[in-house]
Amino acid sequence: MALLEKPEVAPVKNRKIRAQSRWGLALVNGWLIFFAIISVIPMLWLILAPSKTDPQVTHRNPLSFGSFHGYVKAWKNLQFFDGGVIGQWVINSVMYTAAIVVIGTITASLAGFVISASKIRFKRTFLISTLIMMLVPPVALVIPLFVEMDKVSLIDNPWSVILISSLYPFGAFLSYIYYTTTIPPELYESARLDGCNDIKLYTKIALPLSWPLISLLAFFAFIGNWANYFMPYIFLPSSQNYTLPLGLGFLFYSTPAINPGVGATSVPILKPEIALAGVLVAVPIMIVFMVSQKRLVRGMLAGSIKS
Amino acid sequence: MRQHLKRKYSLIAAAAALVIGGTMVSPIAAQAAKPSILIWVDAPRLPGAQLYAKIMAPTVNVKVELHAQGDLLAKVQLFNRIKKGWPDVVFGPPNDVAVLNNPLINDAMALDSLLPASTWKAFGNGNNWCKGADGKTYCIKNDLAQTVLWYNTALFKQFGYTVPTKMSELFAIGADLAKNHPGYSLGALGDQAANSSYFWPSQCPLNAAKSSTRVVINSHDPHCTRVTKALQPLIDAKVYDPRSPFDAGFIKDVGQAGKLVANIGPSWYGDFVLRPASSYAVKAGEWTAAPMPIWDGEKVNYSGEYGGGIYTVSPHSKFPKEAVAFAMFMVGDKRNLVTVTNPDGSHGAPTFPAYGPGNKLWAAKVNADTFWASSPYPAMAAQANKVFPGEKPVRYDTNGAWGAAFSPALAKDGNLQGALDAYATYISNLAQQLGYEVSKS
Repeated sequence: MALLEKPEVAPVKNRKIRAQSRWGLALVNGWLIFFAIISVIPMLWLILAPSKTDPQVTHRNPLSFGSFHGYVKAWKNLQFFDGGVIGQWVINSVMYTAAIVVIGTITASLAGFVISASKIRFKRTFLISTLIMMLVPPVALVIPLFVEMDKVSLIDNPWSVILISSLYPFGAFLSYIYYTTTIPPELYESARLDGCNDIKLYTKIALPLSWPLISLLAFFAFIGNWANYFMPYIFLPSSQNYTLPLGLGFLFYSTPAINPGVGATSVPILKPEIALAGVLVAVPIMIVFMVSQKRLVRGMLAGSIKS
Repeated sequence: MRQHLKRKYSLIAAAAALVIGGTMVSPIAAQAAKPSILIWVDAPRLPGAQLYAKIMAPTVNVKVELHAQGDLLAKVQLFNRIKKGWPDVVFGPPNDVAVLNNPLINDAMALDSLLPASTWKAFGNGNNWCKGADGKTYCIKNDLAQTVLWYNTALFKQFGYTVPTKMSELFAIGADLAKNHPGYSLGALGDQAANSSYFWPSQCPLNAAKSSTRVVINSHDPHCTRVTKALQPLIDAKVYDPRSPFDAGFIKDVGQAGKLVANIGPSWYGDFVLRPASSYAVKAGEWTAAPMPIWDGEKVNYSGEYGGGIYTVSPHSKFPKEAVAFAMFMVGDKRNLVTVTNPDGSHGAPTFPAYGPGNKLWAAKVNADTFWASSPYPAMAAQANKVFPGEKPVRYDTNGAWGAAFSPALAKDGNLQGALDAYATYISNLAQQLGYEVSKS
């Protein structure tokens, strides 16, 4: 009997565990779906708002669709602001961010490699200063950076933003961790024995093994700088040099769409136009994230398992 | 012979150098003599400023830049740090004159000597706002945002009302609306509209700066309490709405529903709040404006102001005359006031020019507008010199404080005196933080 009873205990226990795990799974999934909805609804609203007229944005169902003509009209109305400067803001955002991503990624990767693999002196000092740089908020450096940029005559010049934003201590630290944990030091030693100097070590050994890292660095550089408001705000006073996020803030402030206190204005920028400008800021981040998702996960997990 | 040739060639070379040098130098000298000014304006002023740059191109290099008004102080402080970069002339909100004239900022110059006395006289009282405690003029007022009584002639006729000339008559209309026409409204109070429409014209001392270091703030002054006592029953009766006049709900429930009977509001209220399809969308031919009703026992039917921008000129400007000339173009030239084409297809300056002669040019534009039941211009003109002068520019953000302290308090329980007290406490703290001595009288 006892022998017969024993096997029955296990299925009951298993069923219990399965039931518990089903509940747990449902709870986790429910929680995730809840947050997904919370995140997706504002994005949907933003994408749908330019399809409507201003009164429709306020009075109709927030997730209703107006017409495709609404997007065209909102875009045309945006062109009225400062002679269509928004087109220039799009170009500026793309150019500045591309330059920052390229320069920042290359320098961060090089810095991380040097700190981890080269035989230069004061490597530990460089590493600690990188960590300290990560902790200093950019706002604390406004005045010294502004004075510095003035000394080199770069105020109201895009290079002020590009150069400062290309300083990428987080990237350098990430690269250091990657090169330290992923590439065995013996590999460098062998290469050195074969006559490789530091430059060859980087180009022939480290770089070919670090494409996941490079994508990760480029991704974070893009995310951090595409939406950067502060640096362009400080260093680029002319609206012709603005980036999209800065221009969006400028539109918010200068038109009665969101700031009714502006009152009298003859610029036809209302909520649909502001929403369309918001879409222009948000969509590239979404696209980049979706395109690079797989590569990013691979990059983040690189070196974490033996195989 | 060789010596002679050498001397000859030397002379030719010297002459050539002189000729070339002369031709090279003279345009540079001419270029250096051509004044250059940098102008910062907001979006509505941009078409006029760009037109000015075009007109002046042969004689003055004019660079026009859009700027967000809230950023001005931060940017001027950075420019002060590197001792360059200041715009020569800036268009900004009314309080900028106090903010920029602060000795710590020092970015507003006295303009008295840059224009003849006759020009200053032509402003009438329109430029009083720009006078500092030292009697000097630190800005040029672009436009007046004086309050008038906007009213719906059709509803007035339907309900049998006459245009009120006294505040008590307006409040009697409010009482009648509550009793006989529930749902109809005399407007919304939940932002600085409460000040510009009621407290300021009633001479309530809320930002009564007596000098650059002393301000009177007293929400329990009889000039304030007569407003709160008169309006509170009408707020309770829902004739006045505690929301902002720009609140989407108020726009839908009252403005667009045709429930607004009258509304004390600034001179720009008609074109930019009542009329637009995206705003109250009132019907054509129904609305016009009347002069402000007078408070009982007063001799003058004062207005308040909701906005009314100014031009300030930087003391760091190398060409202050050219900077002032630009401001005068904006307030007095027909090409900006009437002709210039705006992005929405309209023409001319959007708001009531503060400068008398410019104002007369602009009047024709308003008088020709057939949208109104009758031209609102006479009412605007009647109030132009009647903005109560007790309210003065101060270095703190008075308008932001209405949104931060008054509106939430009024929305919470609809208690007007309580909301005014909350505002007074808020700005008293702000004023003290900025070095003002705050007193109640």
